[in-house]
Amino acid sequence: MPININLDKILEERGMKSNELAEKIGITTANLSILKTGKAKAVRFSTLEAICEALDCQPGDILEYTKN
Amino acid sequence: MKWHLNILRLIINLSIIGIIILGIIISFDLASSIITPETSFSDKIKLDYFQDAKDTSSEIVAYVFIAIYLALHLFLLTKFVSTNISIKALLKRGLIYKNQNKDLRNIGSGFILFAKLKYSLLMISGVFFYNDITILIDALPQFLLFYVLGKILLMISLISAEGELIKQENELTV
Repeated sequence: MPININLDKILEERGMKSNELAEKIGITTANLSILKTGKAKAVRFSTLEAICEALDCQPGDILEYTKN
Repeated sequence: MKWHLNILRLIINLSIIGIIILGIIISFDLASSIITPETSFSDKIKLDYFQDAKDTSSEIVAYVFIAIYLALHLFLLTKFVSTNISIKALLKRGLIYKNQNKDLRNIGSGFILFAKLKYSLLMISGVFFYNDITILIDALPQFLLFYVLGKILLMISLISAEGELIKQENELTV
């Protein structure tokens, strides 16, 4: 998929672990893993908002479009 | 939903038993006609399936007819068993389950094929070998029953395919 998820990079920059983020934004670690591995078909605005708030970043920092 | 599915399962199980009994009766008739060759098997077929027939076909046509008739009902039996398995999966795994559309498409196309083949068999045997034109009308209700049932199942399989996709998307929405 040409949409890349840069969640690992942001998490590393913030020094936060995946399970910590999952707990903060209220989703399961399994769902967060789906998002991180790019298997997700869609992301809810509420989830995106929670991630941005928890990581203090913009949606563009997490989602990146690359041409095939 | 469970109540409706259980009723459907009961009807399908009774149909399976009915087909098995029909198969036993046909096999018994066939065996008794082979053991006692003085009784005409063609006359028996005429009496059982083509009451308004004006002619009687040869014995070989009667044997071929009953063999195909039996094979068709065995094919229908496999489709009823598949339907039973599909309903069991519905009860166990919920309204939409993986590969449901394939199961329904298989059953639906099987019913349509059975309807067409049985009608063709009765039509060809009745009109060309027993001179019974009324079979065209007499066999129509059963043909329409399985044909319409098959078409409905094919339509449901398309809806199920769409549902499966939506369910998968919903499960992969974070």
